[in-house]
Amino acid sequence: MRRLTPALVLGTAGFLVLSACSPALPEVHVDPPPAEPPVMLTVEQDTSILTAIGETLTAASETLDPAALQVRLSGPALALRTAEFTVASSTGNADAITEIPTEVQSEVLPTTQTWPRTTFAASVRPQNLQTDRLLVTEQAAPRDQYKLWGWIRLFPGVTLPAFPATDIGTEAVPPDDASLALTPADAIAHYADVLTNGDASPYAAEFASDPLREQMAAQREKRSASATEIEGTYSLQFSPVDGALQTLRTSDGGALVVGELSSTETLQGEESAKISPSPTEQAFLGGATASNSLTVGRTGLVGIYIPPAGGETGLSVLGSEILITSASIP
Amino acid sequence: MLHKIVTASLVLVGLVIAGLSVASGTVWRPSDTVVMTTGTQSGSTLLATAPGVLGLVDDSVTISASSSPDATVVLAIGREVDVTGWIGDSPALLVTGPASWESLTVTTDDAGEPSAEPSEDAPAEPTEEAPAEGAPAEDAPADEAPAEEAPAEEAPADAPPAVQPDPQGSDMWLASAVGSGTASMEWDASSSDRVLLVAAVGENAETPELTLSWPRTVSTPWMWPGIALGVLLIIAGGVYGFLTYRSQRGRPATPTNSSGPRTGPDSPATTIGDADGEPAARTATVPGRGAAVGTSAAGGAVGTTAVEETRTGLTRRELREQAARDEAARLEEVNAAARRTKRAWPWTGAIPTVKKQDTPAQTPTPAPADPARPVWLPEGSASTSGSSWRQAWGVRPDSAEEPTTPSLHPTDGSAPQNNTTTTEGH
Repeated sequence: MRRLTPALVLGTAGFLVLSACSPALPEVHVDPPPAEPPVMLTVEQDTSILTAIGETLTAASETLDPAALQVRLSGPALALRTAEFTVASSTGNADAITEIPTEVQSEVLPTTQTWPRTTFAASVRPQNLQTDRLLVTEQAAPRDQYKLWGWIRLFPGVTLPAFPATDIGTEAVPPDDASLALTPADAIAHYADVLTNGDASPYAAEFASDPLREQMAAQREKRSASATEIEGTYSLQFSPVDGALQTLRTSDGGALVVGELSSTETLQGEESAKISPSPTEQAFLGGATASNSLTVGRTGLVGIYIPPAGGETGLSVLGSEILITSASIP
Repeated sequence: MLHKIVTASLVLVGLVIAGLSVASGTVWRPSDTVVMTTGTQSGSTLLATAPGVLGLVDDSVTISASSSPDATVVLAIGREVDVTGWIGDSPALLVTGPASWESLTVTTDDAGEPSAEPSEDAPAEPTEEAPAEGAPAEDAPADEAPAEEAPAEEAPADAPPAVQPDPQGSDMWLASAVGSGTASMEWDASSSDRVLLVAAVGENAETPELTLSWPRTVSTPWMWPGIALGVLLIIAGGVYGFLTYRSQRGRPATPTNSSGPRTGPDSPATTIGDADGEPAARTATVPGRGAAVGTSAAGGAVGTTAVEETRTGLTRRELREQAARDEAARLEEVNAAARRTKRAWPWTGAIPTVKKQDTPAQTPTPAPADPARPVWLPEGSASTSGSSWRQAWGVRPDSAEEPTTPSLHPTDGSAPQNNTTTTEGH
């Protein structure tokens, strides 16, 4: 027995030591998925996106080269900015270029797991002391960057609706969402009708009065009066652009929709009338000689808050941006 | 001889155990860093990790990837949805987990479309990704000018060579790193949703090889206990060897050991140990040292004769009777010992030298000589046993025990007689 013991001890010790040298492989641990879809951007990421957009805007503004915009602008914003460059190059005046601060006071980040994805951001007050801008960025596809899709100038005295915090994010709303007082597509369409027809529009009561509506109404009056003077006709039409809208859910279950409108203004006088285009319009005419008619095309963006269905409040227009983007003398 | 074997074995086993334990804590100790690599793969220039792989061993991971020397290697960390969406239909390899402590399991992504497919979105990309200044990555430590990559992406849609997708600069990434031929970064993988995308961009870029490394807390549970056990065994072996060495060398039966009366020095030993009276038996009294001071000393004193007697072979009954006597004797001894000065070491008593003498001439185990001997004990003679004992020991009641050595203390409880006997015996 005594002779066996050392051997036994040796063997056991050796076995134990060796078996202690090969721990089990680690296992891949996956966190359980969260109850709600997580926000797909961090504030830092959004800040760097906006910074990049700002740098692009600044750099392009110096050269007035629209091609330089394409890396960080898309959709209506690209069209608007390009138009501004056209005017600025033509008139030699940089006033046409809208100041778009990319430093923001608040952000609305998406929880959209698919593409396209949209963000909103309320900028700080511009240096020229105009009202704040609401910036809309969109990532169209996974391999695209977030680009500035559009911006609107908020009306004075307007308060943006509340959105969920940036670490929670909010969902995108489809254009035909039925949980709202009006679907986003309908809201834009109705408002276009109101701009076209003014108070005669059947939807006039849906929207409270707002500066754009008043401005367009005033313009129509004035231009119509001019048309009468030259015994001509005047028309100012607004129509929504299909599919060109970005909608995000607000905290109260409503939605904020920013949609594109296109407008056509035609002033036609009698044969011998001569309509002088403004310098802005001239920038788009390409040197065509003035004639007795003028057609001006505009691109506009409008932001509308839609309350949830069954609510007491009505729709309200929060801001807009509208610029001449084309002109022609037929 | 057996003592030597046991001693040597204990020491040897102790050394071996201690040695193995030290080895388990040093040579065989698992590395403090776990490094896993995908190895050389083929089939795609994109490689992504499955959720949770980055945090496999520890939250703090160092990511490194390499490809052909002239290719640009891009590392990007993004949400799983973003990375999967970015890869889209491009062929990509997927790292799903560990294959061993050194390698990772790589599978082919399901959406492995031919490379001509992604070129549909390729023309849209070059214009967006070319100007790097407009799209700074989160924290790209070595953001080489990617403008060179843009021309490479201009490949026509129907050209067989694949437009290699370049994830550099995408807004979706939380962290990224770029390098020529190789790139590395560190990442805190506390969220399993954050996955890695590796892309090798450039003409004829090889499939990137990904290496992940984590720090690991390594425990050596066998080392210190094993060392302690081994040292204990060595000490035990040493003590055992020393004690047996001393015992074998023997101790002279000096008077210094003998002041106490004694009956059977070997009795305690024999009762505890083997009846053959080996020294091993005596050593067995060592643990009982403290209580058996008087016993052992006394035992040493008259050990000679006793050993001789023991070796002649007592029957068990005789031994039991002897033991009973000795127990009583020991009690008195203990009392006496308290008054005595401390005994000289060793308490076990030296093994007395055996003198070949006439058995009858030898004194039996001494009885306590002092008046403390209880009166009720039978036989006023030297021995306290019955006749059979006396016979075995050759005790003649009339002859009175003759101690063979002067060191033997008076053997009998009956003091006057004993004294007489002793004196006579000498």
